[in-house]
Amino acid sequence: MSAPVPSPSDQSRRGGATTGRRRTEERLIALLVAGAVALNFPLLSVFRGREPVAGIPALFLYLFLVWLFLAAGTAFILRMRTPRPKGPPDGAGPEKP
Amino acid sequence: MLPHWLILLVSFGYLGLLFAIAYYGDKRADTRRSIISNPYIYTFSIAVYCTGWTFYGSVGRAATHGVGFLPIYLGPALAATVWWLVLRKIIRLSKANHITSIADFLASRFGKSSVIGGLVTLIAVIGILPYIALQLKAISASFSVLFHDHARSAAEQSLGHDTALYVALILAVFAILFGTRHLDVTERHEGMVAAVAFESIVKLVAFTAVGAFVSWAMFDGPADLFRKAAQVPETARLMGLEWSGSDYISWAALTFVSMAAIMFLPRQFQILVVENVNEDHIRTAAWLFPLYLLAINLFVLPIAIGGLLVFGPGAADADMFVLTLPLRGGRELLALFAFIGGLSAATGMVIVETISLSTMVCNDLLVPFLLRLKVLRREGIARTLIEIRRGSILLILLLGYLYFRLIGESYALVSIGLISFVAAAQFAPAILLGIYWKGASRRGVLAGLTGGFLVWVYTLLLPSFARSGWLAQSFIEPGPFGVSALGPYHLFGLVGFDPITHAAFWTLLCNVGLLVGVSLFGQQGGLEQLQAALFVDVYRERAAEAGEARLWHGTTLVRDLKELVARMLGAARAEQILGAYAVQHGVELREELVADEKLVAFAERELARAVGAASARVMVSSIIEGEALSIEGLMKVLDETSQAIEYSRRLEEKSRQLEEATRELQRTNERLTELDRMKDDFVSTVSHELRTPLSSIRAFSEILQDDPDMDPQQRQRLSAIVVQETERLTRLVDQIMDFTKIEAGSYEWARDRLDLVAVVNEALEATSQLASNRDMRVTREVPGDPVPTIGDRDRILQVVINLLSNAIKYCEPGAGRVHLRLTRSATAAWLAVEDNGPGIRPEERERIFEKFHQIRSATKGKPHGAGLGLAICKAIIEGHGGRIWVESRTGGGSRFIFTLPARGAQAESAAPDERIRPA
Repeated sequence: MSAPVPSPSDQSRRGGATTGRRRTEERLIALLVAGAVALNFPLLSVFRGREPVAGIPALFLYLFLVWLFLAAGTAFILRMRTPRPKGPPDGAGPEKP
Repeated sequence: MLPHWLILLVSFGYLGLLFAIAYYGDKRADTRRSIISNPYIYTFSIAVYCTGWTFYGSVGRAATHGVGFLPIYLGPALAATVWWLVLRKIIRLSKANHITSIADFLASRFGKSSVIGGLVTLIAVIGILPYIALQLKAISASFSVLFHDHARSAAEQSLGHDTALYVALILAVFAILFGTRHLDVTERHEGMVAAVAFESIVKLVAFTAVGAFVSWAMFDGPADLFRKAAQVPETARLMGLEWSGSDYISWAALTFVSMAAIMFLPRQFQILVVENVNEDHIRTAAWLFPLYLLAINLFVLPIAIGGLLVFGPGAADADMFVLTLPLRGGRELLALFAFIGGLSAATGMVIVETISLSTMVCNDLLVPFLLRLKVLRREGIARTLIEIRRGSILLILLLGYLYFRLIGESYALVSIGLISFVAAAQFAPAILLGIYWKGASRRGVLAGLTGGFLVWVYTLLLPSFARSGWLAQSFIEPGPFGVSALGPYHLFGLVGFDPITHAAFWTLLCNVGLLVGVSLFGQQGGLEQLQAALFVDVYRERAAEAGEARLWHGTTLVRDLKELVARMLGAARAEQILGAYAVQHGVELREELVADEKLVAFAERELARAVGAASARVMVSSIIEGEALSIEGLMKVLDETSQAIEYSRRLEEKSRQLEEATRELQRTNERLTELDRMKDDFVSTVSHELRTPLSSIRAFSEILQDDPDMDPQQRQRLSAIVVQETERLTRLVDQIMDFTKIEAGSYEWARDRLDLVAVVNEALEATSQLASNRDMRVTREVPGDPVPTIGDRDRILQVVINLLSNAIKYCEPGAGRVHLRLTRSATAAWLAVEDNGPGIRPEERERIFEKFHQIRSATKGKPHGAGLGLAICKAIIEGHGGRIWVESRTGGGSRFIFTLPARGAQAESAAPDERIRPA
């Protein structure tokens, strides 16, 4: 028995942080998959020969909206859980894994 | 028409401004008040992704492909969603290992291999040359347009070439001034980053200004522009989506290649990873950078369509619409501003790219080579390294210029850039697999990169030479030697794809296939495994610490180490960092001492900051004697991985042990209760047994005392009883004393040679009286030869007598039969005493050998004896290295058996399955 067995409180704390970080990562990956699907065949073919919306070609508009959604989604996911760090300006981020 | 001097003045003025910003940035960095340490500057610096290609080429591509230019920006926008996962890991790794470039990163991951570093550098330089050529082309073309409007003659084109050469030279000077002030590359080029971020703002504003001018000044807003475009077939086509299946595949392939390019182009790696100040800045960059890309692309389609409408399809070079449209609109100053924007885009790219490539060429290509030649093993090579870097910057730009001269005019801007994108995408499998899969091996990466690169050369680079006439056209069509299946654009008959998609498919297939295949069927070396574990498990802090401390195992003197560092970094700097180390660790670095592992590892890291991991390793191993890699260090790090499993395994084991202990405790408690009860019983039995003879002794003694006139015969009878009772008392006390002695282990066994047959005969004789008293027959079955053993004769006799008398006592008088059998095997003598008495209940069988245990007879209720006889037997037999047990059926008689080791055989008991079977 050379290595100490972590105490229960230590484990549960670590477990909590892991779940939160995992969840953020899962959300980001889901967003990537959603974006990749939205920006490829067959969804794009839906816009073949569509009438312009407010004078803007429908496909053009759709692509930029998805784009906007990707940026907004990433911002939302990355900012929703952990508040902006007040930590040191240099070095590692607040989420020490 | 703008005067030429004004254009030149503004251009040089702008470059001067950039330099001022960079200078200011560096000054601030020197005083530790960084101006780039904020996520917005970081984001804008990433926008170095948008080069002259974006600025001019997107419009050109949009003018022929409509929205087809977008994947190059949608890819990065998609990739940015997972920056928080992937990029953060790469940054963490790079900071921990003082990574200076993408080549350094891969070399470091795959066992600090200089071969990998060199290969990556080679691929990067050759792969990026088209891209640099493209910037030169963009700048020189934009000069030409501004100087002469868009009408160009052959003579002016040659002037364009000369312009490109001047531009290349000026940019080289600029990059040298920016990038090679310090030797230490990880000490970030803060000034350069600040300048690049500023350039990103300028190009965005300039492009948007032109877009707004075209949309609102030349047309009546975007809606009007699109409506007019819809009426012309050529432009209407661009807004629709008349795509076939292969167009969708191109779209997906371009998106994918761009996702790789945004992170793995050398300059992107430089800005995203090496120049990163704080990994938390990714949080902002991951959404702000896609927005920047969105903004800069918003007006691409309007400008392209506007240009086509204004100039008519095919009338002008669509790549230059950004300049020609404002000129056509009479806004020469706007055109000049747009030109500055384009200049920003192109110069930013060239500066960052050449700086990062020169670092790679120096650290990963030349230094390992020179180290082998022992050129660098002398004083003051820091200076040499800087010269090498400056030289490589100039060389790379001149090579770019050469490429431009060779093929520049035969391609549109976008196509040139995409060739480089596919080259950069070759790094993606190695990096991504490298940071998530420990199994990715050095040989695998070597094979994958080489394969992917060769296919790239064949499917993209050589055809580009062919297209510009440096190779025969027949190389492309039908294919080399007229073999269509070898055609670089339709390899093995894969048709229906554009060249970029086609090349992306084959290169990545070859790359990933070889990487995975070779890794799966090869072996990794020790250092390689260690680095793999450190890279994949970077978030385990203990792994990192262990890796830092324990890597070196040989010995070297502090003096040698100091000299090495001084040679590389200069004496003053060496003194400074080693002094800081000594203070931090509270040690004194006396020169004649042997440097410990930590100090060696520290020195290696410091060297790595300057020359990269692979080269630093070669340098340190040159002064280390003995085994370079510590196996314990290696094992420790690798062990970290299995630590979690180990924890849970130990916990399980602990809880198993605990349960076991609880059960054991319960059993012990029951036994204790039982023992306590038995002790009480014993005490009362012994008291009773002692009291009976005492009472009679006392009674008869009183009679003898009270009646002196008793007749002598009577007196004789009574005193005989007293004597007999006294003897009984003595025997009882002797028995108790014997037993306690044996139990305590202090009994001294005699070690006689004896014959068990004789012992048995003696025992039978001793009990014959008892047997005949009870009218019982005792039979025996003994071998004819002696059964020799070694032991305490009297004690063994006692055991046999005890067993016999027990058997006799427990049988019904008259009907009882006792049978004694003595046999021998090679290792043991066996003695069995069998009777036809009432038998022993199963739960009693083990316990009758316990002290004080008394069988409660079913018929008589009261126990016989003190309960010590069998316990003593057991103690004696076990004391002789034998075993004793009973086999019995209730109501079917019992058989007591003991074994003793045969003569000569050491104390070895018989195996249970060798029990005597009933005859």
